[in-house]
Amino acid sequence: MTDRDPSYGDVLRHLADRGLLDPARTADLHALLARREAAPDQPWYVSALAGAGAWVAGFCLVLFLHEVGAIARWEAAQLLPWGIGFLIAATALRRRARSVFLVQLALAASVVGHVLVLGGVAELTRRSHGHVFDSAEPTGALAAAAVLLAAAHYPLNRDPLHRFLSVLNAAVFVVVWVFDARLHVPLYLLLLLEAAGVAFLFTWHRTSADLRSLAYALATAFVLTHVVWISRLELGAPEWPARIVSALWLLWILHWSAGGRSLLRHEPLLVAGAAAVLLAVVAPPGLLAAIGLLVLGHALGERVLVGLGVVFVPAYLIVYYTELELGLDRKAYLLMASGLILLAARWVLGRRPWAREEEAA
Amino acid sequence: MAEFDPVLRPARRAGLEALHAAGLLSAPARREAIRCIRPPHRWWTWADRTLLLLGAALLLAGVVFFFAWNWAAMGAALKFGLIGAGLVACLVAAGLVGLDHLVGQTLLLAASVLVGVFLAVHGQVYQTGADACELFLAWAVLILGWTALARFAPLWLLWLVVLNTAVFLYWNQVVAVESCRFQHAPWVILALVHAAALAGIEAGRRAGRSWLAAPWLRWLLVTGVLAWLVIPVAVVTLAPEPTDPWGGVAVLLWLAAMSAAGWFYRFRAPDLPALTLFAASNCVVLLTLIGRCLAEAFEDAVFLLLLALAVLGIVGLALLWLRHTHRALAGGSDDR
Repeated sequence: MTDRDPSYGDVLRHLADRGLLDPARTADLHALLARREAAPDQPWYVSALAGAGAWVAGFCLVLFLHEVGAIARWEAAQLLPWGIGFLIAATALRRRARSVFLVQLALAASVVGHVLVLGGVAELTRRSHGHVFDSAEPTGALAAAAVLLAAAHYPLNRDPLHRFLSVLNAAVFVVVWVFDARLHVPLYLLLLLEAAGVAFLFTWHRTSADLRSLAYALATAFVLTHVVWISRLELGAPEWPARIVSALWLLWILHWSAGGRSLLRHEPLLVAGAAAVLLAVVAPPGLLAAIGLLVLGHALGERVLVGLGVVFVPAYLIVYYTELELGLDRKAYLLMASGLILLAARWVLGRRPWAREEEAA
Repeated sequence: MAEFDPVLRPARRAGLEALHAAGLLSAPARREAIRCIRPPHRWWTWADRTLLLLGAALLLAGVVFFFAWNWAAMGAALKFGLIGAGLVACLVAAGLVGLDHLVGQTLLLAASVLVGVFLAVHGQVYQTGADACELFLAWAVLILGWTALARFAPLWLLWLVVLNTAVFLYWNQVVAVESCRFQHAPWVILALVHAAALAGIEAGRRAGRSWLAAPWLRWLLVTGVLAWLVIPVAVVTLAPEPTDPWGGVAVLLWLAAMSAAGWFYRFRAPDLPALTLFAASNCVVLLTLIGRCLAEAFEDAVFLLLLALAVLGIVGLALLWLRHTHRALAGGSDDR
C-alpha cells in the first residue's frame, strides 16, 4: 500500500463537506484530539535502544553490587531489601527526572530492582523446595512475584518503557510457570486473558494512552505464549480450546474492523469469517493469532502491531519445524491446508463483482 | 511544531471512536470517517496482497516440511517429478500471468523456493558428501537470473538470505575448521554484499523504481551492513590480531559505513529508523573500546560501576541525538 493515511484534518474536512460535522463543535474536536494524540516522546525503536542500554547497565550494576559484597551471599535477606530499595529509588527518580540520562538511570535501577527482588524470591523458594526449577512451586512463586511487581509498578511509574518491560517480564514468568507446571487449564486461561486483553485494549474507545504499554506487552506475550507452546507440544495439552479462543478472537477482530454489527452481513466479512472458522479447524493456533494481529494492526493503522504479526509468522514456523512431538508429514499437511484456505478465500473474494469495482476505483 | 499538531497527524480508528464516544461525531459521521481512513478499496488491496503472500508462504512451508520429512515410501523419481512439475508449473504460470503482476512475482518466488527444495532432495537421495554451503551457493546462482528480472523485493530478500547462508556456512564448515581461529573475512564479505545491495536500492529509489520503495528492505540491509561489520570491529577492539589484515579492513569499512550512513540518512534521505541502527552500532563499538580500556585500568568492582555509567552516558547521548533528529525531521513519516 503506497498511499498515505489521511490526517484528522483531511477526515474532518471530508465530513464537513458532506454536512456531517457540526461547526460549533470544532474547538471541542480539536481539544479532544490534542489530549489523545499527544506527540510520542520517542518512536518505539528509539525506546528499544533505551531499553537495551538500561538492561546492560542494570546487569553491570547487579554484578557491581555482588563484587562490593552488598549481595555477596545471594541470600534473600540481602537481595530483597536492596531490590525493593532500587525499585523505590527508580520510581522516585523517574517521577522527577527530565534529563535523558536520569531517565536512563531510573530504568537501569528498575532493572536492578526487578532482578534482585525476583532473585530474592527465587532464593526463598529454593530453600523450601530445593532447586528453583526442580518443581513448579518455585516458578509459581516467581510468577506471582513478577505479577505483583508489575501491578505495583504500573500505576506508580508513568514511563511507558518501564511499564511495557515490567508487564512483559511478568508475562514471561507466568508463561514459564504454566509450562513448567504442565498446567492445561491455566494455559487456556492465559491465552484467553491475553487475547481478550489485546482485543479490548486496542479496540475500546476509552483506552487511555496510559494503557498502551499494557496493550503492547499483552500482544507480545500473546505471540510468545504461542511460540513457547508450539515448542513444548509434549505437554500434551489438547489444542481445541486454544483453537476456539483463537477463532473467536479473530472473528471479533474481523467484525470490529468491518465497522460493527450493521456491516456483519456484508459478503466479504462472511467469506473472511468462514475462512477463519476453517483455519481454526486445521491451522496451528498461533497462525490465527498472527492473522488477527495483522488485521487489527491494519485496521488501527498501528504499524508496530502489523510488524509483530509479520515477524511472528516465520519465527513460529521455524519453531514448529524443530518441534519433535508432531511428525513433519502432519505439520506439512496442516500448513498446506492453511495456505490453501487463505488462497481460496482470496480467489472467492476476487471473483465477486464488488472486488472488481473496488479495483477499478 | 507542525508535525505535532494533532489535526495534521494521520487519522486513526481509535481516535475517531473516541470522538464518537464523546458525542462529537454522530453515528453516520463515525461510519463515514472510518470509511474515509480505510475505504473498501484499501481494505481489498490489503486483503488481496496479505492473503496471497501469507497463503503462498504457508503452502511453500508445507512443501518444504513435506520433503524434509523424506518419506521413504516415495521413490526418488516421484520426488523429483513432483518438485520438477511444481517448478515448471510455477515458471509457466508466472510467464503467463506476467511479472508486472503480484501473482506472477509470487509464483516466481515459489519457483525459487522449489529450486532449493530440489537441491535438498538431490542431496538426500544421492548423498554426494558435498558441504551444505555448496547447496546454498548453487541455489543462489540458479535463481539469480529470474531474481534480476522479477523486480520483486521479497525475491531479492530470499536471494540475499540464501547467499548469506552460503558464505557463512563456507567459513563455518570449511575455512574455520582448517584455521581454528576467528575469521574476519566472512563478516567483511557479507557486509560488502549487503552494502552493494543497499547502494543498489538507494540508486533504484532515486531513479524512481517503486518496487524498491518499501522501507523494510532498507532497514534490513542497513542492519545487515552494520551488524556484519560490528562483530569483527568489536573482536579487533578486544583482541587485535595483527596477522589478519581483514580486521583492519573491517575497521576501515566500519568507519566509512558510519560516515556514509550518518550523512546519507540524515541529510540526503532522512530516515530515523536507519539512524537508530547507526546510533546502536556506534554505541556497541564505543562501549567495547571503553570497556577494554576500563578493564585494563581498574579492578573488577570499579570497572563494573564505570562500565554501567559509560553505558548510561553513551546510550543517553545517542538517545539525545535521536530525539533531536526526530524533532528536526518534522513533517517526515509518522514514526509511531
